[in-house]
Amino acid sequence: MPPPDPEHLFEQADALAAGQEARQADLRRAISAAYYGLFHFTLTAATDLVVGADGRSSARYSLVYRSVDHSRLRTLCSQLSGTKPQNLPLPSIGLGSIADFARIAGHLYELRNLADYDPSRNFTSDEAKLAISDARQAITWFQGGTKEQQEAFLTLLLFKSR
Amino acid sequence: MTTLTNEKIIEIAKDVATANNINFASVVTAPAIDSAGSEAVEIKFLLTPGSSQAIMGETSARTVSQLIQKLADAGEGRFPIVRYEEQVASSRS
Repeated sequence: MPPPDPEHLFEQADALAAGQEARQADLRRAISAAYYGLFHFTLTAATDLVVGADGRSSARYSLVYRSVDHSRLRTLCSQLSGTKPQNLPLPSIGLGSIADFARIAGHLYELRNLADYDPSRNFTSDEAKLAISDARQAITWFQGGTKEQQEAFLTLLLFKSR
Repeated sequence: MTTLTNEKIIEIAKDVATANNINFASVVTAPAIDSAGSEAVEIKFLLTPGSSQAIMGETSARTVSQLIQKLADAGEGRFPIVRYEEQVASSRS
């Protein structure tokens, strides 16, 4: 089975957030789906790097895909918050727009955490739509990075620096 | 862990929003807890009525990214959770 298509998750989120009568459960799921679209995009890119896109139906692909969890992505994104991340092997030209991608990914994870687990928060349709648009923009930023920048980020995601 | 004052966070947030042409009425902060159970800071932009649609896409994302970046560069140790809330237009009687 191929990995989830991020755009399908974004379209699901669009539908949940679109209605004028969207309920809190709909809006929370929309924000969560926006994050998950970005998460699966990232896992697919990382696993394609190691295994290759032509191996997407293999057990080895699943093994690598499942090796990255949310907290690993969140931790790396947090490390890339500032302009000059410390103690990370980065390209000489920096991460460019991949750093923007990382900040949005980390942020959407936190927003999704509130949406999924914090009953004290209320969300609006506009906020959910903005989260979805942020996720789509983050992918655009990732794709706008150079191959070296993309691979640097994905390598840091897959392999912990010691 | 370094924490900036609310006033400094709001100043940085307003600067970022203004640079990105976001129409906001005010910015408020509140303490929060992040996914790891650590202290975080919630930063909410109260948008002027009807302005959410205008910031969909790059403007919203750019604002979030730059705000996270500038707070980190300023030494803020808490993760910022940025939220947008559009003000409801007051009805005419």
